[in-house]
Amino acid sequence: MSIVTTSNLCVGYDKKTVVAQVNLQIRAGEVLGLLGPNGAGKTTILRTIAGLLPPVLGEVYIKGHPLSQLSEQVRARMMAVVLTDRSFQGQMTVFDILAMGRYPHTNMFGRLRRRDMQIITDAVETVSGSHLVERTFNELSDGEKQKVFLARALVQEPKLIVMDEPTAFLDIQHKVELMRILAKLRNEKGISVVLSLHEIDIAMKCSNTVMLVGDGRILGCGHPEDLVKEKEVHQLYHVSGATYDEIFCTLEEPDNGLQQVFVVGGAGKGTPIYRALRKRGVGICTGILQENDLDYRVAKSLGGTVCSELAYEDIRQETYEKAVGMVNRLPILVDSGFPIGRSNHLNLELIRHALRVGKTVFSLRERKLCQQLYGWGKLVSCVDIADMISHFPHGSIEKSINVANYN
Amino acid sequence: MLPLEEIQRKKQTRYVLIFIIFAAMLVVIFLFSVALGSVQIRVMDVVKIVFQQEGLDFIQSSIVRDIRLPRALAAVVGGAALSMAGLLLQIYFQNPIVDPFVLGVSSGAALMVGIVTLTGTRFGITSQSTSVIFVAAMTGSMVVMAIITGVAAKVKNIIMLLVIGLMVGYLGGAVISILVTFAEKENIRNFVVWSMGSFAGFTWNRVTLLTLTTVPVLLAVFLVSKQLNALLMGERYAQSMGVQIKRIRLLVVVLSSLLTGMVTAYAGPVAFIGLAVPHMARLLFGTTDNRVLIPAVIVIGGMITAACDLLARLLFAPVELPISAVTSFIGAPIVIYLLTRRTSL
Repeated sequence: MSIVTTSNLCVGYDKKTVVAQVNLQIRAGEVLGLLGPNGAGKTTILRTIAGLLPPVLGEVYIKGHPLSQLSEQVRARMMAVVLTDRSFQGQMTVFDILAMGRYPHTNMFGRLRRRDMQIITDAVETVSGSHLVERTFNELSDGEKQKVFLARALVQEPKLIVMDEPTAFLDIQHKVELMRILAKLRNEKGISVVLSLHEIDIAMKCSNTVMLVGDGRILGCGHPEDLVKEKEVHQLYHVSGATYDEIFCTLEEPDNGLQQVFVVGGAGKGTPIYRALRKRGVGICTGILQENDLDYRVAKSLGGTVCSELAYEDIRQETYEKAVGMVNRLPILVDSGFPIGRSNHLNLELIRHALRVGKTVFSLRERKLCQQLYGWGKLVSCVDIADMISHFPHGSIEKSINVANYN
Repeated sequence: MLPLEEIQRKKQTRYVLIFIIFAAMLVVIFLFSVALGSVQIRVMDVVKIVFQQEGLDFIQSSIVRDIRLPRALAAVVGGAALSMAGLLLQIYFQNPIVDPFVLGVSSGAALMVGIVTLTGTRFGITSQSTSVIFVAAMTGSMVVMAIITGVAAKVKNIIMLLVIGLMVGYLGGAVISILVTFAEKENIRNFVVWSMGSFAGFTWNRVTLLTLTTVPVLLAVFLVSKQLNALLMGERYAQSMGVQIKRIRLLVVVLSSLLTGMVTAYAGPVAFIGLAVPHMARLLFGTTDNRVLIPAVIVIGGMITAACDLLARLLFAPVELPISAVTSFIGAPIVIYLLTRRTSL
């Protein structure tokens, strides 16, 4: 059963269309996420759905009834909003704000009865904000304010909550909490939610359906897992330079820095090193990674050169030879401290080779272990990445590159 | 009982207590302002005269009945009306630094009254006609209010709004000084006395008219207190909760200009009452709930204005100060304080 449907809706201000051809459907207990860059028109769509803005063309239907024909009170009992307005004049308490949610349910003077009080109590418990009730609203943090707004919307007992950028200004803790509360609303109370977001990962994690809003039109609508691919992200955000990882839902900016270092990675041990080097403008060269390795995906999305082996395959001799070729071209090799197993023991051989040919080797393993594994050589054992970076004076790296290039 | 209910009940008890204290203070100040003056009358006698007991001193009872009682009543009712206009405007503009005087609504009323009283005799209007002045003041305040709300719809910056209010005031002042230059002497004297603001000129006729128009408006405001509360969260939230936003906006504009116009017609422009009293009420009652603030503003507004009127009469007796001279000493510091404390305007 759908709560909201629109067909060929055009939304905008003063007859000027911002987004045309909005066709959406929100079913009971469903979360619809509008995803797109700032200024794409997500807020305009939400305001139109909420009845705060008349449509330029078309109509919004709430449970089959045209929104424009519903009375204010009926509409307010169906839908509640969480807006981006965050401060009010005066010293309203959290309770004052919550109590406002009863507006469409109370009498002319807004008298609160026991049932109303019970609903307020429950709502504030749902967002785990009971301790905030007596506080002055304007003194709360952004995260606490957002909780209060969500609780106020719940107090209105709606079938649908419309939320505009609920995660903006929130820290990670409150973002996670918000997603948890949304899941609870959907699963336990069957409340539908339509919300606008600009973070891809949150949209992917909390919505059942995603609608991509960009350049004044709807670029797509569907299950987030099917819909949001690298091509769509590039189209939506105009970030063709960046790479989008469909599994991790992350965007990475590939580097064009000079390749100076060969990182021996594996099982995610390489990733923090890639990122640290990337920030210093150092190009990445890494290996030998199986294609199912975590490090493989990250190194690829960072634009690194990866010497890789097929997924779940032992490293073959020919792949190893390729890696040796790469190591020989670069002055420095970093041992990320990858786990050593049957399928990748040739990586150890690669490090031993680097030492033999006189490369500088940094290892994130303990000194003793290094001696056991690799024997002696020009090896620096580092306690962490910062320690490793500090051994990389900029000038000397460049000098050694020049040397390497002349060789 | 739920914990929330208990907290609310305690708050309500506190509101009622504070309200009773201020109502009592209002009665005391009212009695004093009838009793004190160039002829001192004992408070007990005032009470007797008010309740129409016979056998009292004729001069005293005529001073009380014909001069002081209408004046004190006018100050109370007028003060309540101005304060309510201020509260309404502060809710409407989502801003604590507005009132009819600051926004130039009073100046608009003054301008229209000036035009009527300074040029009226030429067109055969007797300048002191009660209803003519009333209509003129009402028209003036409505027109300025329409201009201000029109501008506010486009300009969201409150400082702009204040500056526009000031400019409207200057423009009105300029027009009035042109009129004064060419007006007849007798008319000028009347107008100048009026324009400095005073509750001195109230006859029973005018007090009755003021009261009969103010009381229904105050009641109407109380009836929409729930909508006004919703407006505290901003128009979008209010609309989402079911407030018919256009209707309430129009209502607030009309009611606040009615209240301002009615008082200004006879008392002249009175500064800062509309600004200061809602703040006092919010501070004293510790709430923004308009269901509490509306009665509070009526009582405190009446009390403060009556007290200021009394001070204006007594401070340099027998010379009388214009009431705005007294109210400005309360109001202007509050505006400065609020402006400096607010970081985002």
